[in-house]
Amino acid sequence: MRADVVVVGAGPAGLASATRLAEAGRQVALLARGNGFTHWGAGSVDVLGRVGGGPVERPLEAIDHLPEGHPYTLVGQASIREGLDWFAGFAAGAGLGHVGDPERNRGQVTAFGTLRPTCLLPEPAGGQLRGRVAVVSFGGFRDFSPALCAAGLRRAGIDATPATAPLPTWDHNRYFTGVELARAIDDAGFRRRLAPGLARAAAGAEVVVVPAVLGLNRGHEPWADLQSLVGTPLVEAATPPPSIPGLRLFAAYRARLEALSVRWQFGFPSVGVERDGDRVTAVRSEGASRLLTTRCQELVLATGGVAGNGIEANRDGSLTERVADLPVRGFDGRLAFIGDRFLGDHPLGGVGVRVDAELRPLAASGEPLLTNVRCVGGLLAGHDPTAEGSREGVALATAARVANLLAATPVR
Amino acid sequence: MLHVEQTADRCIKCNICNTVCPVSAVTDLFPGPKYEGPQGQRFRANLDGDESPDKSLDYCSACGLCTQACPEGVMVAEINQVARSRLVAERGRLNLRDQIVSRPSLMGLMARPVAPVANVVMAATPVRVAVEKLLKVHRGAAMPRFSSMTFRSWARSHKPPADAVRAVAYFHGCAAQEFEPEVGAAVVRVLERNGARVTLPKQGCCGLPLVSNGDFDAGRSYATRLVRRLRGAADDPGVIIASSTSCGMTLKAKYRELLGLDDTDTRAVSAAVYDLCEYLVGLDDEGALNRDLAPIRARALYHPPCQLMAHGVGTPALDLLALVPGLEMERSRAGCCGTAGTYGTKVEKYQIAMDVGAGLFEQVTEARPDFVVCDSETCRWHIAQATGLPVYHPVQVLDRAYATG
Repeated sequence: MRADVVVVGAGPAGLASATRLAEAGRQVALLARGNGFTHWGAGSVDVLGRVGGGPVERPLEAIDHLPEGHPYTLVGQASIREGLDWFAGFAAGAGLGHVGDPERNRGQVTAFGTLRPTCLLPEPAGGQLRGRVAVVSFGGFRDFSPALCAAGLRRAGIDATPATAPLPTWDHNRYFTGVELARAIDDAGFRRRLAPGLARAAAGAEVVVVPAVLGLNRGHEPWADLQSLVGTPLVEAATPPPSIPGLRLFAAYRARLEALSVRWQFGFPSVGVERDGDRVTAVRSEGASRLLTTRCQELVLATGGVAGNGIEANRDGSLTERVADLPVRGFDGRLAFIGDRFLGDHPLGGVGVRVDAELRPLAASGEPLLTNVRCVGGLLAGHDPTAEGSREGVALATAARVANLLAATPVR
Repeated sequence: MLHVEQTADRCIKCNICNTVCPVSAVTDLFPGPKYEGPQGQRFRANLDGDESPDKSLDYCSACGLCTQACPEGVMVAEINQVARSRLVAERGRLNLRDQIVSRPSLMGLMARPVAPVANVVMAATPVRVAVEKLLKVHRGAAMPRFSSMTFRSWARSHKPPADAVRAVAYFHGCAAQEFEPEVGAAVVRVLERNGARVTLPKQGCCGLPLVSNGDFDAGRSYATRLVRRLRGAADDPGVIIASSTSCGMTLKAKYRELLGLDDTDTRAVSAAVYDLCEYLVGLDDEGALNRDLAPIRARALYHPPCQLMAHGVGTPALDLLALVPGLEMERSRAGCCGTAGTYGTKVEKYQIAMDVGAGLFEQVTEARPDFVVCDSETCRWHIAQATGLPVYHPVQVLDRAYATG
C-alpha cells in the first residue's frame, strides 16, 4: 500500500483522524488490526465526565484545571471545540444527528439504569426523562432487562416502570442480539407491526426508554418513524456490546472514507516501522505470508491504550508500544497491575505515550523522538479515558489538532 | 505463533465478529461466527471421537470477514473451518456433490475434449434441473464455461519477448487453465510488458475447494504435491505470481494455518507467492512499473473479494486501475459477494449466496457501470450471473490499456 499519511487504528481517534486528513486533501491509508471502540462504546461523545472520582458538570470549564500533560491541556480549548463541531457536522451529514452541549454534561441512560455523564448524544438517546417513564424491552431480547434498568432509574429518583413489548412475527427463530433486531427495525413494515405492542406496553408513560436497537442501516430515521407511530418520545438506552449506535457511526465513517478514496486494510496488526533518523518512512503490518510495507510521509498512531491493544502489558510489569516501540512508563512488577476494586478504575487505564504540543512522541529525555509521528486518542499518556469519561472528546480534539497540523504540511 | 484453535482464548466475547457476518445476517441456519467459533470451541476441545456439538457451522461460507473484524486476533473463520473438517471426518467423507465441486481440475480435464458440447449441455435448463436433482448443484448457480483450449496450450504457442529484465513463475491454478485461459494470457502479457520473463512450473490444483468443503486429508495431499512442484520456482526465480486470490491465499497461509503444513518446503513456497496486483504495485513502488497505459473511457465498479482482504495487502487493484486514464472506479461496499468459492453453487446455499450478494448487486444496479472488476474467479462468475454485466479480472483491464497504449 502507499499513502501520504498512514493512520493506524480504527477506533474513534483513528476514524476521525483518517477522515479529517482525507478531507484536508491528504492521501490516507487506514490500517487496523480489527474494529475498535465504536463497536463497544455507548455511542455518545464523552468529553469529561469525572475528575478525581467526582462528577463534572461543566466539562469545558473543568478542562482548564487539568494537569499539564493531559491531552486536553496539550491541544487546548480551540482544538476541543473545533473537534466537537466537526464531529457534530459530520454525524448530522450522515443522518446521525446529535444533541447536547459541550458546556454542560448530561446523563445518558444505560442498560443498568445509571445516568452516565456525557456531552453529545445521538438524537435517539437524547430525550429528557421526565414524568412517568416506561422502560420497555422487546420479547425474546436477552441483552436488556427492563426491570434492572427501571430499578436503576428509580434509585436516581426517576419514576420508571418496566414492561416488555411483544415482537411481531419475524424470520428469526433463534437467539438474537441487538444487531438482528436493529436490522429488522430498519424495515418500515416491521416497525408498523411493532408499534402497537410498544404503545400498549408504554401506556400512560410520558417517555419510553428502549434498548438502543432502533435501526442499523438507515440512520436515525427508523427511530424517528417508530416514535411517531408510538406517539411518545423514545429514548435509546446504551446496551452491552455490540453497540448499535457505534455500528451506525462506524458505517458512516466507512462510507465517508471510501468516498474520499481512503485505502484501508483491517485484520492485521501493524508491528513495526522503518526509520530514517528521526523520521518514520514506512509502517510494517502483518499479512498472510509477509509483512506489508506502507510507505508514508506522516504516521498517525491511533492504536489505543492497553485495552485497545496499542500498548502491550508484559509479564515483568513493563509496557511496550506495539507499532514504533515508543517509550511507555511501566510498573515495578506485575502486582502493580492489580486494581483495588473489581471493575473499578485500573492503573493500566492511565498509561500511554508522552507527547509534545504537536502530539509527537517524546523520548525519556523529553525531546521529540520521531518528528513525523503523531499520537492521538487513547494511546496518549496523561489521561485515563475510561475513569474520567473523556474517550471520544480526546479522540476528536487530538484528531482536530492533527488535521490542522498536517493539512498545513506541504506534500513533499 | 498460536495454533488456530488456541486463538479462541483471546476472545473477549464482544460480538464484533457477529456484526460483520454476511451469512448470519440473511439466514437463521447459521447463528454467527462467535457462537460457532470461540464460543463453540470449548465444547470441541477434548471430544476424542464424540459427536460435534453443532452442525450448523457447515453454513459458514469461510469468507473470513469475522477474522478481519476481530480486534483481539481470534482466527474466528479458521476455527470454524477446522471444526468443519472434523464434522466431515465424523461423517467419513464428503458427499458426492462436494467431492465433485471440490475438484475443478478434474472437472475441467473431463470436459475439455467435449467443451463446446459440455457448455451447450450445461446451459440447458432441463440438464440443470437434472443436475440439481442428482447432484444438489443449484440450477441458478453460475457455472464456469469449459474451455477447449487450456491456458498452457495457449502458452505453448506464445512467443515471449527477448528483452526480459526480471523473471517470475506463474501459478495459474485451475481457473485460468481450464475455464478462463484469457485471464492467464492477460497475466503473461501484462507481466511481459513489465519486463518479466514468465515461466510456468508444472503445477495443479491447490486443494482450496477440498479444504473449504472440509476434506483436509484430501486437501493435504493436493497441497504436498503442489508444494513439491513449486518448490524449485520458490528458489528460482523466487517469485511465484498467483492471479486467483483465493488460491494464492491458500498457498500463502492456509496450508500452514489449516492443514498444519509448516515444513521448510511449504514455508519457502508460501514466502515466494505474490498476488498479481500486489506484485505489480510493488514494482510501481520501486518505480519499475510500466505506466504506458492508454485511456479506457468507462465507469467500472471494483469488488475486492473477501479472500483478497485476507492477504493483508490492501486493495492493490484499485491503485493499479487508478493509473488507467479515463477509467472511473467505484468501490464495492460489500464485504463478500456471497458465493465464497463453491458455497453458492450448492442447492441448500444458493439463496443464501444471492441474499449475501444482494447489497452488491443493488449497488451495481444503481451505479450502472460499464463493467465490474473483481480479482477472484468464482466471484466474477457469481456477479456476472446475478447482474448480467461483464466482470473482468483487473489484469484484463490493464492488458487492454497496454495493448492500445
